[in-house]
Amino acid sequence: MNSHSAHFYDIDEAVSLAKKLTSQGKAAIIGSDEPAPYVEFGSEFLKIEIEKFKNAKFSSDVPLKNVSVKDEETNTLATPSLRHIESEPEDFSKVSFDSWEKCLKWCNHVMGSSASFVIDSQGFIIGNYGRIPQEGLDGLGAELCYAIEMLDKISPGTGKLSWVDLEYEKMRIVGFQIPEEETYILGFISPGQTYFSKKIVVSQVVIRNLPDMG
Amino acid sequence: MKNVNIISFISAKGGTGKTTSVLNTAVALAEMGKATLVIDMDPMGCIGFSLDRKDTEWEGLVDHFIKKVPASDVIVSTKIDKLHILPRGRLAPGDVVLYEELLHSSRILSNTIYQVIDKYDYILLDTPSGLGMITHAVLSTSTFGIAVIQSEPLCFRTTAQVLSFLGNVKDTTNRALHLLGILPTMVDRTSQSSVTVHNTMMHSLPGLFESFIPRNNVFAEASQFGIPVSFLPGKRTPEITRYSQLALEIDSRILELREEWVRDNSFPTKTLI
Repeated sequence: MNSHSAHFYDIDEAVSLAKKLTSQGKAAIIGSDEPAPYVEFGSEFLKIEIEKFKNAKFSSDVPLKNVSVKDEETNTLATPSLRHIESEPEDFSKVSFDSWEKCLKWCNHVMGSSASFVIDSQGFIIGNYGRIPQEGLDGLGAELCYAIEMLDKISPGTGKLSWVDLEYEKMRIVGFQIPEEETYILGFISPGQTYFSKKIVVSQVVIRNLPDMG
Repeated sequence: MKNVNIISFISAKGGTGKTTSVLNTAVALAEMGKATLVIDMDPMGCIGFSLDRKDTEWEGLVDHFIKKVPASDVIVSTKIDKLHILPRGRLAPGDVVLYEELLHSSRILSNTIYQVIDKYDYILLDTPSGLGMITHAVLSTSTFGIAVIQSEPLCFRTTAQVLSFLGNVKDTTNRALHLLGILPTMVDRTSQSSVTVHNTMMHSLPGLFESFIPRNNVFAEASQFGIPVSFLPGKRTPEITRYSQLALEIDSRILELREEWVRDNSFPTKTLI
């Protein structure tokens, strides 16, 4: 830039972003390998904040009854949607898991859900994690599987249905149908308020790791 | 379903001319024959103020969300057949935080837009200044974003922030989002720093619109009367027709992009044997 240019300390960053975001940068992928120039709320910051949060006493801290995984750990959690974020990894491209148990645990943390589960193509629950509802998940799993199969038919030709968000008076259930040959459906009970922004990340990470999960 | 262009106008800094640009671009698009809806997403209710309406005069989005008034009942028709406005509604100032949280943590805005989407060619969303929860929610629902950059040094320096924010929404929430362009506003030919900023933008920023909005009294006059600039009486000056040029540029840019996308997604000719 010549001396008549406006002083702009990060014009290169703006130009590079503008190229990526317009048709000029179709080949470029946003969020490439270059280090981001901004400070981000990474897992370390969240860990510290959540530690503070965990140590605080809440009037709503009551023991939970029906817990499927790690009873002691979950029993101490009164507000799962916030406290579950503690081990969220910063770099999603490095997240890997080789079992549904690990996958569900990670998904549950990222989505801030109170519970997560996975259904196979027959509608059977093959794994779950978190605070399971009193009435269990079996009926819910089969019905969700059936509902997604029906919803798939609403718009033929637009591809396989991937996400559904069901809002009930007292609970929210979100389902993610993994778009692979062998169908699995991940279910999330009452995900956190910001779960919507995590959908793409969860989709990408789960699909990438699917071949490794037994 | 036809291709509806949902465009949000965003900026990190306040007072860049977003509301003026949304309103006058919408008027110009409607005058071109495009069915256009303006949605006022700013908790301040700037569109209503620009049209000289009292803060609680119009029912709108908030009444639709909270009181379950059908969206079609709160959409305001205008004297231009093709132009409708969905005002902010009667939002209590003390509830702005709740309003922001509601928009950010639910799909309520998308659901509202889906109810009326078939009626329009263009839906323009006016956002509040800054890169907060409402702007995030609005971009999550849009097909295009326009970054409104005031032609002066401070606002110019926020360009990377705005583009990075839009890129982040595209990357994490809305793959369909596309930067339609960067709109220079308040270009002041009598100010050296404004001219320098505009020249720097023209020479360096890809995606900059050729149309730019000058700093001119006609906008203040229109605001005073509560009308779009093209409704001002008197001779048609170049300033008054700026938004018509911008509307044409937006329409042709979208047409090009859509043709490009169709080409990218079309299958090549194959032979079986």
